[in-house]
Amino acid sequence: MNSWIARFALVPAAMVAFGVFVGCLLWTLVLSFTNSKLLPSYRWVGLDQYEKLFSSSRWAVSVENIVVFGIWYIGLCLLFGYILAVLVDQRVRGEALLRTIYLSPHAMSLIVTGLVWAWFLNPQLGLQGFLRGLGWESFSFAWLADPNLAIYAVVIAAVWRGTGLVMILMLAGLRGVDQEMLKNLQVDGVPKWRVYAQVVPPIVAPMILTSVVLLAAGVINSYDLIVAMTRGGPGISTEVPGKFVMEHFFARADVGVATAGATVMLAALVVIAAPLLYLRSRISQRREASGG
Amino acid sequence: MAMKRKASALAGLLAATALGLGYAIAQDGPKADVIHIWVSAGESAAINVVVDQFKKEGGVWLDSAVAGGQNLVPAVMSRIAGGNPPTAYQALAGRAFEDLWEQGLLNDIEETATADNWRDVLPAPLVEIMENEEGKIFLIPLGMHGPNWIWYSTEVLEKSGVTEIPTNFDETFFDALDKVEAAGYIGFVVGKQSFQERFLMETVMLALGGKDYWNGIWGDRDDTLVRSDMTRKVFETFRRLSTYADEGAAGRTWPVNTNLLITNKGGFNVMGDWAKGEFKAAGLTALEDYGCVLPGDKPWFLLQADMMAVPAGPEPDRAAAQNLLAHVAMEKDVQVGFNLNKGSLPPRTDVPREAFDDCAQRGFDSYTDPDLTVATVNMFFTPKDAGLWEDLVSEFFNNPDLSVDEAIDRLSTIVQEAD
Repeated sequence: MNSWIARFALVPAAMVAFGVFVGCLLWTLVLSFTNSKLLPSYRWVGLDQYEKLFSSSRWAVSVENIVVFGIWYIGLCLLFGYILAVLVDQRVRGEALLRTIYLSPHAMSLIVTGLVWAWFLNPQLGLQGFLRGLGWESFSFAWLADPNLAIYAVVIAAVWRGTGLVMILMLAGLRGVDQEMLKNLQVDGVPKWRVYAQVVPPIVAPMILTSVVLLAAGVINSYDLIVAMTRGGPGISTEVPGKFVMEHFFARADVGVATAGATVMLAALVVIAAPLLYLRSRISQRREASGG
Repeated sequence: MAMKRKASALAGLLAATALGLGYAIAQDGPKADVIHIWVSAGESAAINVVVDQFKKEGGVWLDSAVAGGQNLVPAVMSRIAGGNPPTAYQALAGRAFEDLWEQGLLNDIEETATADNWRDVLPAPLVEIMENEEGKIFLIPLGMHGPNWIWYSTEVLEKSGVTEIPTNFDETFFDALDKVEAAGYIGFVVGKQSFQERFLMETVMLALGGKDYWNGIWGDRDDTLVRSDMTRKVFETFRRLSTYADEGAAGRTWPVNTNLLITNKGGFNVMGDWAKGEFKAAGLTALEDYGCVLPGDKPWFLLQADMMAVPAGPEPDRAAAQNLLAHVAMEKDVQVGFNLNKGSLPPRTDVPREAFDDCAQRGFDSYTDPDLTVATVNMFFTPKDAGLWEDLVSEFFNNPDLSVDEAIDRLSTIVQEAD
C-alpha cells in the first residue's frame, strides 16, 4: 500500500518532467521545420532552416570550435583531475583542505570565471602587461587578441574550473580500489607511477566515463564562458553553437534557424553520450556479475 | 475568547477595506508599465523627466527597466508572447516590428499624433519610419542618435602637430592618424566588438559613398552598386583602418574607448553621439577639449531613433495610458529635458536649441535637413539579415585572409537573398 502511495506522489513531478522537458523538446523540433522568425509560426518549410544553418560560415566555425574546445577541455580535465586525485589520495595530511581548494573554482559561476580570466589574459591589463612592467619586455601572452589562439585561452579558463569536479569523481573511484592489491604491487617492485598509469585506470573506468559524459554535456552547452570571456571574438573566432542558438533566438529574431541549431546540438549530445552510458552500464553489470 | 477572535476579524476586515480603498484611490490614473534599458546615471535622469511629467498629468508609472541592451529584446518578447505585454517598451525603429504587426500585437497612437500635430513638427524622414503600413503612427519618438561621428581629442591632435582636421576617411585622415601615432599616442581608438565594427563600417560606407550610394545598396538592392569600385574603396579603407587597431582593442567597450580620448591617450574614435555623454560627465567642453565631425562630402546623418512602441493588450485603460504617454513624450520641455540628459537630439524641430552644446548643434543642422538624413540598415533589413551583414563586417575586420573580392561576393549574396 505504501509503495503505491509513494508512486502516486511522484506522478505530478513525472508529469511536469515529461510535459515540460519532453514537450518542449518536441516543440523545438517542430519549430525547426517552420519559418518562424520572431514568434513561432507553423508554416512548414521542410529542411530550409537546416540548409541555412549548414551553409552559414558562423555555424561552421562554431562546430569546429566546439570540437577543438571539447577535445582539449575533456582531455586536460581528465588528465589533471586524475593526477590531482591520485596526489590527494595519498592519505596526506590536510586532505580535506586540499580537496576544498581544488574544488573551489567549480563553485564559481562561468561568468565570473570568464571575466576574471579575460582580465588576466588581457594584453595590457593582465599577465603580459604585468610582466612587461616588471622589465620583461619581450614577454607575450596575447592569445585573446589572436583569432587563431583565442579558443585555447578559453580552454585554459574552462579547464581551471572543471578539473576540480573530475578530481572529486576520480577520488571516489580511487577509494574503491583495493588497497591490499596496491600494496602487493608495491612489494613486487612495480613503481607507483606505473601502478597509477596502467593498473588503476581500468578499475576506475566507470568514473572516467561518467566524467566524460558530464564534461561533454558542459562542452555542448558552453555559452556563459564564451560570452564573458570573448563575446565570440575576435571576429567570430570563438563562436560556439550555444551562443549561435541564443543569439538567433533573440537578437536575430530567427527562431527557425535557432531551433534547427538546438536540435543539431541535442543530436550531437545523444550521439556522444548514448554509447558512453551504455558502455558504463555494461562494465558495471559485468562487475556485479563477477562479484565486484 | 470568542470576543477576541471577533474583534481581530473585524480589525482585519477594516484594514483590508482601507487598504483596498486606498489602493483603488491611488491607482485611478491610466497605468503605464514601461520596459527600457536607461539605467545609467545620465539615462535615468533622462527618463525621469518623462516619468515626472507623466505623473503630473495624472498617469501612474510602473518602471520595468532591464539592465543591458542585449536583455531588452528577450524581456519584451517573453512578456508579449506570454500574454502580459508592457504598456510601452523602448525600441529602435526598424523592420523588427514586422512580425509583431502581422500578428496584431501592436497598437498605434494615431489619436495623439493627429491631435498634437506631430506631422508638422517632426522631420518627414522620421515620420515615414514611425508610420505603419496603414499610415498610422505607432512609435513615440524620444531622442535622435546618430551613430556616424568621428570624435577627436584636441590636445592629442595639437601635440601631434595635426593642423588640418579631416572631414572624411581620406588621405588627410590617415596622415593625421600617422602623425598621432608618431607622437606616441594611439592614433585610431577602436574596440573589437561586432557592433562597433559594424558602426565603423557603416560610417565609412556612408562617408565615402554618400546618400544615393547608400540607398542604392540597402534600399534598391542594386547589385551593380554592390560590385562597383566604390564598394571596393570602402572595403579597402575599412581594412586600412583595421591595421591601426592597438593591442588592447580586443573586446574593449565603447566607454573605455571614449575614455582614452578623454585622458588624452588616443587621437581619433568613431562612435555614436551617446559618447558625448561620457565627455560631458568628465566635464569636457565640446570643440574645446574634444571635437566632433559628421564625416563625408556632406555631413550625412544616420537616423537612429530611440522610440517607444506600444503593444496591444486587454486592459481597458491601456489605450488611454499609451496616448497619454505619447502626448507627454512629445511636449517641448520633456523633449529638451530628456535629450539634454541623454546626449541625444530632440526629434521635434521646433524646440529651443540654446541649451545644447556645439556638437549637438551640428547634429541639429544635419538632422533637420531631409537631404542629409539617411535611414540605418536596420530600417531596410530584418534583424536576421542585418545580423548576417554584421557577421561579414566583423569577420573582415578581424581576418586579414578574407580578401576584398570574397567580401564583396558575400555582400552581394546577403543583399540579394535578404527578405
